[in-house]
Amino acid sequence: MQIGFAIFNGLTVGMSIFLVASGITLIFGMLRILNISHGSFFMIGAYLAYTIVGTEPDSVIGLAGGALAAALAMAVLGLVINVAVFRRLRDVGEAYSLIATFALLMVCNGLVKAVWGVNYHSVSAPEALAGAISYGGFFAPIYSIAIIGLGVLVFLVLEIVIHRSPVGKIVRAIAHDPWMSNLVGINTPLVYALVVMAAFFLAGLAGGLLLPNQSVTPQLFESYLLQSFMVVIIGGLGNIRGAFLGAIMLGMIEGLNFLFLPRLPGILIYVVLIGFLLWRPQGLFWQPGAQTSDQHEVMTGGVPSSFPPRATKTRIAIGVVLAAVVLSLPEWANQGLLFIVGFALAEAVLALSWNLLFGYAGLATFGHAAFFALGAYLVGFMLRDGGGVPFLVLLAASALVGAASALIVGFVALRRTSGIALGILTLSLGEILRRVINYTPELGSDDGLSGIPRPVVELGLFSVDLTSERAYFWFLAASCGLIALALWAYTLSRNGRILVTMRQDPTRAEFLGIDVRRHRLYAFVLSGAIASLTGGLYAPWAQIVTPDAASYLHSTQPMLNTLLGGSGFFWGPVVGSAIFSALGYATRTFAGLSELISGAVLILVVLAAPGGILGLGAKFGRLRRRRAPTAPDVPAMQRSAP
Amino acid sequence: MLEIQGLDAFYGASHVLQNLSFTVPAAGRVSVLGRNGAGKSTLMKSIMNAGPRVRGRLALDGRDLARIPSFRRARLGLSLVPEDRRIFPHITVVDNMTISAAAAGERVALQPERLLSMFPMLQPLRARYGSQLSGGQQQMLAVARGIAPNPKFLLLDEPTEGLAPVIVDQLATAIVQLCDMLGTGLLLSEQNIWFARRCTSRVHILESGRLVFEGSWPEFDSDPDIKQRYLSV
Amino acid sequence: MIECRNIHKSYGAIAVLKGISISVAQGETFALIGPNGAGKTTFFKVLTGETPANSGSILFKGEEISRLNASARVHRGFGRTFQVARILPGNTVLENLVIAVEARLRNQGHRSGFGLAPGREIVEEAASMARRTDLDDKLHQLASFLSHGDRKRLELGITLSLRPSVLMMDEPTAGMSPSDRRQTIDIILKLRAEEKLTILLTEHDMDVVFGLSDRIMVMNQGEPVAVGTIGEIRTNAAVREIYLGQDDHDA
Repeated sequence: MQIGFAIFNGLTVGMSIFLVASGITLIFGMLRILNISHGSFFMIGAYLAYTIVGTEPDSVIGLAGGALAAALAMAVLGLVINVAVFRRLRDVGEAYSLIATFALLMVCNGLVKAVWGVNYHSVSAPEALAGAISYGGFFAPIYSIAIIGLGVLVFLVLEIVIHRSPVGKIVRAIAHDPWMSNLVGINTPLVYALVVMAAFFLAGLAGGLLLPNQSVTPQLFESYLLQSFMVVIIGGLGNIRGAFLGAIMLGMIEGLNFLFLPRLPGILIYVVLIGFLLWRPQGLFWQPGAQTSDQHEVMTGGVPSSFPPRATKTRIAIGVVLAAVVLSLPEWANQGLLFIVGFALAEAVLALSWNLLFGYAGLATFGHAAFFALGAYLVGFMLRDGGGVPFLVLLAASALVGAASALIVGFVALRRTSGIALGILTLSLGEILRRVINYTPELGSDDGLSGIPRPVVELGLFSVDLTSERAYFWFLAASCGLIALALWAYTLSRNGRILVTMRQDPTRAEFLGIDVRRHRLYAFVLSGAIASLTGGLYAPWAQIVTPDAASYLHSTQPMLNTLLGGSGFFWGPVVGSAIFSALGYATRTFAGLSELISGAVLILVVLAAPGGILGLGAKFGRLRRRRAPTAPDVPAMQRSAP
Repeated sequence: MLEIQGLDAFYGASHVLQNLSFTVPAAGRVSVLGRNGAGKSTLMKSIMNAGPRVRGRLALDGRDLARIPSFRRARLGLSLVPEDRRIFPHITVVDNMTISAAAAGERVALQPERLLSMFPMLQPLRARYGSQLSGGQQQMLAVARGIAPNPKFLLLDEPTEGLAPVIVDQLATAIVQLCDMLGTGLLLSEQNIWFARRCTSRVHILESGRLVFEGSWPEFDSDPDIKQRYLSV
Repeated sequence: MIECRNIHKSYGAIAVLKGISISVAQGETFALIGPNGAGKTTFFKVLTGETPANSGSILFKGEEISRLNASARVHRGFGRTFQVARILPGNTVLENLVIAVEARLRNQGHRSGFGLAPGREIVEEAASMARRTDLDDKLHQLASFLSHGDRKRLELGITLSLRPSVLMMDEPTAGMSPSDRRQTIDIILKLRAEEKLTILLTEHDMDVVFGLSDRIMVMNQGEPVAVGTIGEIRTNAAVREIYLGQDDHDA
């Protein structure tokens, strides 16, 4: 009986997810854009419907009417988003389009917080749906039956339209080959717009109809986002049948999880997802054209230089001034600013380590925060409860743990996946870690590890007391600076040149005798080690580490920093993290505003300046230089010989 | 009439076509010969606005095509059969013929039965899926799909590539018959001179993105140097 | 030097190579020709290690290499150029060549020193390779701005910087103008003499094929039609039928 109930509940969850996942599937199937923001549009739909129907809809018609109104509004919004954003994402690389939709997610979430506030609302089901049907001791809430029915209905409609109608032939023709479809006279832009509108309509409809099923909060997007992603990946990107089966599977797995692992809710699905990605990265159903090549990615954002630059006076001066400003901060800045800068330094190094993979090795991962969290929890836990292991040993251990876990993950992941699958795989691993931490009381569960003491470093003859904020800030700033410089040197050496060679043309790299897989793994390990070490440095600074450190939201921070600053420049991530931190600091008192602005800035960067801020600067620099008489260009690399 | 004036085409930073000008009269048949990489495919795609960045004037029956998207150009009466055929794999042979009906615009599209009678080779395959066809069958179907909307000009990009000589022969027969019957203009990019000669009355030679020869077949033959210099097969 | 026996390869149900065997001697230039779809490129990829054969063996200097991946074959002396030149578009000509020279030193087991920048002798070697491939006036140009012919020559320079013992060239003159073509043939001839290269190439242009090769194999539909010297191939009736025959139609 319990099993029956679990299955029924699972189905309800699965069908709810399917309503969102079907929209993601439609958009990916046609436009090859994995719309990360879809969960947020679902949330906006829910808020709109909530605004219309209030907390106690009096009838089924009222609820349905509200949902329909929300759905129509979302369809219009979809049209706008399609013109303003999606249409422009055709010419940018896969990773960039993922990041742009993530930026949309930030804008949506910021908007929701700004318009509706951060409070929690709940909507009750209208009376007609509130009861339950019982049959031989088995209870099924009518509302759940209605959701399951709706899910099946939506599936049937989509199935018939896509696979069994003349319209479907055209739609699938575009999915197979948009270029040729255009040449046979099909108005593909129109079809794209209609598909996006349909997907958004479904998101709005689901948002409205599922109102009684959950509380309406600005976090609503999250569960639907991740779960519908899983459904889409398991089913095979862009395949509606796959998404339907995937949704049912997800529901069943959640049910099993509830039965057998009640202490770790939601973790089984990640395990299954990872198994899936490694076993069948293309999902249950293969969708033609779903695997996108990494060739296109190559030049978006530019390739960072891997040859040592000339040490001009200006460059040295900039470095010295920046170092002086940062190191003198404790003397003049207030505590709030000091904290933000320390935080920004750690984020900057984390972003540098991510860009080693993205900008240099050409690998986009979405779970980088997991390494950071590993280091942070290791050092934080040991400082608090570990009984006197020297701090420097802890830092070394955090780097080693990061390297070792990156070695294991990279060895398996890089062998089996690339592109989107690699992104989702790393994202899932990060979420698993977050959940494990979340349900481990020894690590403080949800509340995190608080009261982490700052250490005193014993160096034999003398000791350095880092317990004061000033002292630890200096230590943190110096460490981050050293790590960044060491990494810079690495990228300017023969190893860096191997990385940019692989990124620009893996095949050419192979035919230069570079074992691409092995060198990608090296980069992965180095990047993981640095991320983890940064976490270790960060823990005593913040004195608290929460499971959010491992969340996918945190994983996206290095990406945002990198793209904003410019992935084609070593120092791009640092610039980006400075700007994002400043933005966050300036807008800290307005709920949602920082997300809104950050998201909007990011979309602009991706659409208008894929080289980031430094890329823009370089462009203007080139223009100026072109006008000025050109100085004879001595090859920079010829000056120094080892 | 298809007019091309001062056409430049670019892929990224590379300047593939340079200042190309020529016209194909209504129902005229012109070959474009040239080596791999001479710019033949780029020319075809430029006319359809299907890839390269283009500068210069393109006009169909006096109507300027600037900025018109490819699906509209198709509806106006230009039909490209691309080099790699691009048969839709998920639908049948007959569906592949009817899917291009969208491109007929105000003209009357050819019915599948009529097309099947022109391409007897496809007759027994009518219910097969695109993915189940051989290279030669795909090429036949690609031409059939291209002619189905009864275009004013058919643009054929290296249709004989990789085909067995027997098939090449059948293809030539079908194309000549169709163009005669429908009064369709033809712009044919080829490396196979024999095939080009069968299908067209004039010949243009592209070399590194420039038009280096333009004339009738007898003119082409009267100067053996041309063949040696630009085509050297 | 290269000994291939009975190579079979199919993609799904389609057999692309139906038992190809060749043997190329040290210092020889061996050309593969045949109509499009004959399987030349696939055979090339099997030889270089980009795609595994279903069956058959490849011996290189007596060593069985058919299980090795591409980079391992490069370590043993393979160099490869592509139909569409594979270069590093975001780097300058000189940087491309420096990276290639460094790669060779790495393959030979030289460790890099403590300096970050490539050593003077590396840069000088790269610059001299640029001279030998007629690119010395474009040292500091980004490779993405090079013309088609320059790219092909740069790729040749990159590949030769590895000092390979066998050079595999897939259509070395594809898409070039006649003058570019002649220049490229001259450079290949010159470099072949200087480096004592063994060359395997595919090519459409018969002038290039006859100008460079010692022996030729004609392929059609995944099978060898004929193997022999230039003279033997020219007079082979079967070859005229399938490949050179287009001229007959023309007459």
